Amino acid sequence: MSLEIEPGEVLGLVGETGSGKSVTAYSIIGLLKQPGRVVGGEVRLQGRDLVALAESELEEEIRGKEISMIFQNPREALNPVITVGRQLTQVLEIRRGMSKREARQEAVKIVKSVHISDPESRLGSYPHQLSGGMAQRIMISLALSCEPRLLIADEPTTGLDVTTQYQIVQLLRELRQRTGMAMLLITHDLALAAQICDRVAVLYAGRIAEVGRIEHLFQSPRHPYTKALLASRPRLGLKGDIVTIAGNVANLMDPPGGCRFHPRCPNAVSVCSREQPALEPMEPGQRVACHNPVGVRQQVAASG
Amino acid sequence: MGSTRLLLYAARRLLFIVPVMLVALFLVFALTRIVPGNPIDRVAGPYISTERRAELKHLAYLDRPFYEQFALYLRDLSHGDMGTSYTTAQDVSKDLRQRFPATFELVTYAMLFAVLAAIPLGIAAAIKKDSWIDSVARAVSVLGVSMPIFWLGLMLLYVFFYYLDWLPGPVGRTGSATVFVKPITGFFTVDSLLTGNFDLFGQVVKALALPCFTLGFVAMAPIARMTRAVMVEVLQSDYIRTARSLGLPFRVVVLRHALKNAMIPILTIIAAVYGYALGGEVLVEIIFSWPGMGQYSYNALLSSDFPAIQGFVLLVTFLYLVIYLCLDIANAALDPRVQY
Repeated sequence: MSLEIEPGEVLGLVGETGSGKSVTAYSIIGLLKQPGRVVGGEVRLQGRDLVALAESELEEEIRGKEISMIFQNPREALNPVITVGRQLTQVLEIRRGMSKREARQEAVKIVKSVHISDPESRLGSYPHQLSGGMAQRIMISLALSCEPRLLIADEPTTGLDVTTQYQIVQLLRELRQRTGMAMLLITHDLALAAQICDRVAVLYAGRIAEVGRIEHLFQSPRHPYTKALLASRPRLGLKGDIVTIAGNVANLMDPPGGCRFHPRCPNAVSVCSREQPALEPMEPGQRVACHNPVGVRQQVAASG
Repeated sequence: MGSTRLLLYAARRLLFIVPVMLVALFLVFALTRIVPGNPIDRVAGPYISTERRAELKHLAYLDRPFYEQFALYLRDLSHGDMGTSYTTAQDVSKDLRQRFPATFELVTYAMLFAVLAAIPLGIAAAIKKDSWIDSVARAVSVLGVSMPIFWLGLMLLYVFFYYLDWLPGPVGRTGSATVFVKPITGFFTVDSLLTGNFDLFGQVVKALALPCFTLGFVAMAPIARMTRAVMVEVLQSDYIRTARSLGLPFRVVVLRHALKNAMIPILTIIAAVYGYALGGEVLVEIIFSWPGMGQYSYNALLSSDFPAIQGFVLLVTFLYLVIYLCLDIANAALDPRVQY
């Protein structure tokens, strides 16, 4: 699979659980859990291949400074036995070479910028004393502390209640406006992606099914999987059951041949089980990997 | 929050020690009297008249009912009188005071060795899983847990004393130096340095080496295993991933982020091992003729020396409770989630 993000752009990576979204993200900064490893491909940051970098270079030059991450379940993503203030000042001291005093002042400034009221006392708290939304704001402060060029947000609203989700989304939008950093948003929630992203890549079983501007994908999805994902969103005023996608996510240890979605695909034709479709440009502007896309009839006849 | 609350908590816990000690004391008191054997028989010998025997029994309160004996013991104890030992004919409190430093020095260095060796070993094994260092850690754990302490002690003596002749035999605290050390702190390592007697210091260290290693090695096994297990788990947690994603150096991630979390269960196992070492120490003292409390209690048990046994158990219970008190305070200080 191949993805690009322009400076200042927000790209959404959407897919079901187990479709490889997080793995993609972690491989970008070299933090795949054992025994996972990157076997091939390249990750380029302004022309520099991150996969080829040594661990020490990734640690020193990339993580935090160029690319940083925020996670789901923010309270667990923070160290439970260190105050959030110390977690923040430690990064500022070590990564930005600040003195204790400077770090303290900078920490207050950063925490204020993510709209935490009463920053002084919040910085003295431990993660378990914070609400989920507050913890995520602290997590965002940590991620922003070294002013990265790219922020990877891995399901940043999962595990938060709905109003808090909204606030975090607002905050991410605002940060994007203000700092101009690029963002890679990983989510299973197309609606969330629609709120922040410029472009969306729909991932299925580790491959891109469809990628394009968010409005194109929403208005005229070409890949049957995108269409099914859109149809399975819970919506206000929806009558009857939510449409689900039949079957389970493909087993990545032994993926089906051809198009990986074909066993679950309503549009599947015989070629789908034999050949892997290439990512081709399609109307109105996205790129789609499908032998028999939605709303394009002629290919049905062609392949019988 | 704050240190005042922690102090109050410590004070409350300290009060709790009294009832626990009473229960422990009661149990030992009952057990020594249930078990067959009578100190009077040992002191008096077989040829003494029945009247004299009864008189001796009376003097030791042993002709009275059990609860009266216990009450009298508590009364004496409240004045700091732990009774007189039948074997040494000295106050038990004096006996224990004389022997305690030898034991305490041995156990302290053994635990120090165990902790300082086990924690780095456990961390290294956790970081480099399935490497050679992990194999070493596993071997240490298995050997330490499965080897009986007396066997290890005897084997070490065989190799380092009998065979290689590098270290002194089982002849007590000063090894081959036959000197009388006037205790200042009671720690001969410290006392010999305080008096500037470096020759003696060398002897003392040599004499300590084998018993310390024996006890320390056995204590090391569970600590190393716990450290490895906890560190493996902690290193996979989300907050470690966060710390790494921010580009913090691996050393900082391991020592400041992971170890601080891992220390909580590690301290618990250290406290448990400390208690175990106080028991295992009896065997070590016997093997190495170490003139400490362990030998004293062993002899007291063999000769049904009731006051000595009670005094020993009282002291060990107290030490044990103090260790657990320290553990709880350390946990409260380390883990902000602990309610106290």
